[in-house]
Amino acid sequence: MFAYIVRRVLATIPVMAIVALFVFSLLYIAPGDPAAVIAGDQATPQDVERIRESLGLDRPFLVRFGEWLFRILQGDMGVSIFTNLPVTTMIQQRIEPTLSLMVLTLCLAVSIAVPMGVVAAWKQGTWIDRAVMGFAVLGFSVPVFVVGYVLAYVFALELDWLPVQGYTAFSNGFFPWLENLILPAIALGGVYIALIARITRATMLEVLQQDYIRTARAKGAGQRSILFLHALKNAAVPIVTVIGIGVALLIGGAVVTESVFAIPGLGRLTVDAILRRDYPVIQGVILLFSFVYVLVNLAIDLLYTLFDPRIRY
Amino acid sequence: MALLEVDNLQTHFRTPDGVNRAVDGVSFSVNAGETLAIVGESGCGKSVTAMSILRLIPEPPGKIAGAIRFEGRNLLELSDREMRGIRGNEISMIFQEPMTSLNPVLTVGRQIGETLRLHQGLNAKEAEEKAVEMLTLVGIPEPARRVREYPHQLSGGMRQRVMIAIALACNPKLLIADEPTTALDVTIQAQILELMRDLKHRVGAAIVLITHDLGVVAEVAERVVVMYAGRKVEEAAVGPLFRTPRHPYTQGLLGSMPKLGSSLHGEETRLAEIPGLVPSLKQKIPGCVFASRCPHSTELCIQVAPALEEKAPGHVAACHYAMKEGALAA
Repeated sequence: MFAYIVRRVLATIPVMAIVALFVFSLLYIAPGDPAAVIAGDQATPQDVERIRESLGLDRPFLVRFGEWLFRILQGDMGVSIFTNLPVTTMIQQRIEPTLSLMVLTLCLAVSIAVPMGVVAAWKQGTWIDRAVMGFAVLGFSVPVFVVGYVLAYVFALELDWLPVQGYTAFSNGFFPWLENLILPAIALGGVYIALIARITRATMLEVLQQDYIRTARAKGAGQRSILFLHALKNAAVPIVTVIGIGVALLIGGAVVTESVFAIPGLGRLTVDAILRRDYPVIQGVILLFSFVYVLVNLAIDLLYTLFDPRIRY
Repeated sequence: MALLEVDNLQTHFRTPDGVNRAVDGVSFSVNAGETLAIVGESGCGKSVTAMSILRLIPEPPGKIAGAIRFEGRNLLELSDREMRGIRGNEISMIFQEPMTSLNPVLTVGRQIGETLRLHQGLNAKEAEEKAVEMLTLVGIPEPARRVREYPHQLSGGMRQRVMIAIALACNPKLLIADEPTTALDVTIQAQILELMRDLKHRVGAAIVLITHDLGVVAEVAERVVVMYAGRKVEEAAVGPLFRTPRHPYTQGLLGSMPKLGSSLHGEETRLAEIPGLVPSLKQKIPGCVFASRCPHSTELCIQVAPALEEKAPGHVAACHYAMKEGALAA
């Protein structure tokens, strides 16, 4: 088991290296000259040349990649072209709202979607099942920003139950934090809930056909124990897998959600950085997101052994 | 009073192309401590009968009618909650497939302990201690270690022993065994049968044994019910049934059994087979269900369903031509 963990952690290194190479190449792939953009409209060719040199843009690709990677590994992601602040500082300032949003959405989605899928499978073919599946289709097809604006309009503007936008730090208390985040989390969670509920239902339908479910019934186990212990534990591996894959959805969705609800998080930072061609920031944020995604999926691989004793590494 | 009385049991399934009468008017009873075998070929309704007793048939599409009286209480009238109190406690069941009947993600001890926690209110620790005891009882070596293992770490025979341990954990009054040895190797079969017989004497439970294996019946049963196409066609004590089978179907079943010591190559020792297949259960059959395959069938058999008649003391059969004494006249 320990050897497996070490092996898996080591295996993430090439993945991250490829991501790093890709992220670094962005500067070359993207059209336009960053030096010219930074210099602005009134710059002389000499100004542009000076900026190019200061960025090191005049040196060979591989040399620059090597240097850049070396600095990244030491925790130095460079300095924002626009604000002159270190990228790590900028990320630190913005990470809490995004992390809060993603964690809350994850918890909310899992605690809603899994029971939904379980009940739909149990009540297969009834109106409950159809309602859940209908909701899943809706969740897949309505974009995050539409749900976001509708929620904000109904619950914040019309009913005035919750703030329209903004973010309150966790250190100011749990409820103010939750108040600001609940609508964004619901908006962001829609697709995610739909995905998890569908997989849960499909897997549960298969598991409920198994002989050991009949055995559990013959033992006198109650419906809840049959569904949530005997069946769900057997259905856990595919469900946990899509929860992990779905984190990618959350990352993409967070960017949009933060714009809709004016949350000062990494998503907003990314959008602003892209608009300003602030390459060090773009690179830093993408690297961070990739790293989180790889880490989450590693954790999920390790979780398998917890649910299914037949999986041994 | 009989421990279990099944009275005119009818289990029907609604399917897109008509109603499937899997069990169509079957009655029998089981006395305390007795072993009753229900035999018949695949699709004759014996497993459905067994599942109906514990109401394990999904409803819908299934529908159970008639009466199933256990110690005088009609199980079909109990609430789901009352029924759960009986399952695994007073009546328990073991299944054909030990490979798939145990939950792969729960330890053996947890699965044995579950019934004890449900029905006897034991806590986790007591349940595990009792589980170890049960594993010892069913002859599993190193029970203290095995109790923490998962089903995939056990062989087929061991898993069936675990199933038996689960079934007997609460000292049930009735054990329903649905083809308990079919999926096992012959040597393991003998061990499991021996174990069941031994435990029956110790626990004193009555057994309903569902099987298509007449060898197993001869080995353990006291009384036999022969089912065909969802109906009971013959019932007798095991000795008379094997010596003088009255119903042509039972005769066919016994005739198709290979006997030890007889050559399979000799002309006269060729195994008798029953030609044809079990009729579709989706049409109502007005006459005798076996008429289409019976060597003795006449116009009367096709038109009129024969009633179950006592052909000899304690020996009933549903056949127009089965004589009161001896075999068929024809």
